[in-house]
Amino acid sequence: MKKALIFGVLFLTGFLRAEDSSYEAEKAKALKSPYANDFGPASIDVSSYSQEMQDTYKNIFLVKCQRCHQVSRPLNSQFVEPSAPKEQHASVISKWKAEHPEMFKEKLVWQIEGKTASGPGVWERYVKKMMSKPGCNISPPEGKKIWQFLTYDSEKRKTGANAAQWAEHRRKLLAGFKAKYPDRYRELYEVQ
Amino acid sequence: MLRKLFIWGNLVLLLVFLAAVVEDLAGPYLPQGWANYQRQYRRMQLAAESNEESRKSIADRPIEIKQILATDLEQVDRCTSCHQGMDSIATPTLHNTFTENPYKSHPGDFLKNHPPEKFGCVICHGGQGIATTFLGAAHTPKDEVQKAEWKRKYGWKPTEHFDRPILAPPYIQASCAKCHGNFESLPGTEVAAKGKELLGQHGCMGCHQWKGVGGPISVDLAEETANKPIGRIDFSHTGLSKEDMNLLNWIRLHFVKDPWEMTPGDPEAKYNTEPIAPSGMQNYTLPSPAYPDKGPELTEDDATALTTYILSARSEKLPYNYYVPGPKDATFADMHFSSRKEAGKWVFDHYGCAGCHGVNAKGGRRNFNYQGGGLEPVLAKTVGNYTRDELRKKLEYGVPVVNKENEKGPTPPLYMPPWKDRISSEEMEALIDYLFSIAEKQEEF
Repeated sequence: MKKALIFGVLFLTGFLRAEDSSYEAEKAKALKSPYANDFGPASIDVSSYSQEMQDTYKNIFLVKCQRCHQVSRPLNSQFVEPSAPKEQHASVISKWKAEHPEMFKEKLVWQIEGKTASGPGVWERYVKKMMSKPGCNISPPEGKKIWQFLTYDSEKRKTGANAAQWAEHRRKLLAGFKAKYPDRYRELYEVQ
Repeated sequence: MLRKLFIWGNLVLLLVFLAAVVEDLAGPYLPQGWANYQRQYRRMQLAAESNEESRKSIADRPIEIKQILATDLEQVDRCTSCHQGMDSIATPTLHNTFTENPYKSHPGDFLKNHPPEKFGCVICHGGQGIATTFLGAAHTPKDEVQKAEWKRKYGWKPTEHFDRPILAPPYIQASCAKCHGNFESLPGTEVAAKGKELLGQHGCMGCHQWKGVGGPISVDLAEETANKPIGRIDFSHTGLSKEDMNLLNWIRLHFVKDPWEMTPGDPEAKYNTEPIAPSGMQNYTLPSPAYPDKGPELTEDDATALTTYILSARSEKLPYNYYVPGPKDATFADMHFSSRKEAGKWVFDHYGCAGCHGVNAKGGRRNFNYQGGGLEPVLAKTVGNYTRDELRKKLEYGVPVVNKENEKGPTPPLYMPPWKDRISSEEMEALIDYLFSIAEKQEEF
C-alpha cells in the first residue's frame, strides 16, 4: 500500500511536469514573435454587447482569428476605429480629440484611425491584411463582421468611460513586455 | 617451381611494358592520333598548294607535338597538335578553307584580338590543354546527335576527375564575360547577356548573391555555384546519367526541372534529427504565377542563357591586364526615370523582389511549409491594406521568422530579409510609390 502510494505520487509529479513542459513548449512557440498584446486576456466579457456582436465574437472572431494567432493580439491592441458610419469618422474623431485629448498623446495606448481620403480605418486595413494572407479562410462577409466587431469592441472598451481603465491595462502590458523582451519592444515600438 | 614463376612473371611484365611502349609510340599514328591528323593536314595542304617552294616547306614540316606556352596564364595548351589550322607554323595566316574539325581554322576573327601564342585555347574553350588525345582533352559534344556520333567515332566519354570540360557553344560565351566587363555590348555574347538580364528580371538576386552582393537566403551564384567541385554535388536526384553529371548540367537543371526533385531535403526527418525543407527555388518549368496562361516561366533557351552567365563567374587566375573594364552597373542615382512608378519598378527588379513576390509583384512564389498554403503573398493584393509608414517598416525590417503550416515540419526556406541597410531611403520611397501604384483596389467593407 505504501509502495503504491509512493509510486502514485511520483507518477503524478512526473505527469504534471510533463504537462508543464509541453505547455511551456507551446507557449515558447507562440511567443517567438510576441507583441505586448499577446500577454493580455484572450477573452472578454461580451454579455452586454448586442446579440449580433456576441454571435460574431463567438462564432467567427474566436474561431477564425485563432487559426493564425492568439486572439489576445487583437483584443489587447492599441487600435481604435470609430464604429459609426464611415462618413462620420472624421467628426467622431474630432469630438474625441476635443473631449479626450489624452487619447491622442500615447499612440501605443490608443492608435485612433478612422476612414480618411487616403484609405480605410485601421481595423479595416488590418482585417483585410489578414484576409489577403495566402490560405486565409475568412470570407468577405466574415471579414466585414470581424471588422464590425473590432470597431465596436475597441470603441466600447478603450474610449469614453472605459478609457482610463483601458490605459492602465495597456500601459501595464507594455511595461511588462518591455521588461521581459526589451529587444522586441525596441523593434516593435521604438524603432521608427 | 618458384624459378618458373619468376621467369613467367618477368615475361608478363616485359610484355605489358612493351605493349605500353608500343601504344605510346604508335598511338599518335592511329586514325584518331595527333600525328595522323598532322600527316593528314599536310596532305590536305599539299593537295591545295601549287607553289613548289611552299609544297616543299609543307612536306618537310616535322610531325611533332605542338604546344603553346601561355606564360601569363600559366597554361600549356597542346590543342594545336591536332588542330593544325590554328597552329601558327602549320598555318601562318591562321586561316584555311577546310571545313571539318580538327583541320579547319578558327571561325570568325577572334584570334586577331586573342593571338593564340598569348592566350592559348583553354582560357576561352576550357578543357585539358596538356592532353594530346581526343578523350584526354575533355571535348564536350554540343548536342545528343554529336554525342552519339563521337561515341561511335571516338568512343567518347567524359574525362574522369576533370571538372572543367570544353564549353560547347553557346556556353563558351561564358568565357567572354569572364574577362570582358563590357560583354553585354559585344557581338557574339548575346546568350550570356540575356542570362544576366534574366537573373535580374526573375529576382534571383533577392535570395542569392553575386560576388557578395544580393539577398542572404541562398548561395552566392558567382563564388559558390559557378565554382562548385563536381565531388560536392549530389546528383542522386537529378536523373542524369553518369556521363552527364557535370557542373553545367547541374546548374541548367535548376531551370528545366523542379528543384524540389533535385534538392528534396528531408521534410519528414527520416534521415536527420530535424526536418529539412526542400529547395526554396521555384519550379520554372511552370507558368509564372503572374502570368498563369503563358507557358513555362523559363524556356530551354532561358535556361541556357542563365547557365552561361553563371558559368562566366568561374574563378580563373588571370593577370589584371587581361580584364577589359566595362561600364559599372547603373545605380539608382545614375538612372533617369520618367515617373516615380518607373523608379520604384527599377528598385523592385534591382533588389530581386520578384524572386519571392513574382514578376511585376503579381504572383506569390511557393515556400515549403509556409503558413497559409505555402505561397508568398501577392503584393498587388496586399499592399493596399498598408499605410505608407506600415509598408516602409515592413520593407525595412522584413519578416525574419515566418510561420509554419505544420509546426512539426521544416522551417520554410524563404523569409523576408530586412532591407533597410541595402535599399537607400530614396530608393525605398520610390519602391513604396511603385507598390502602391500596382495595388489592386479593394472593395470597402
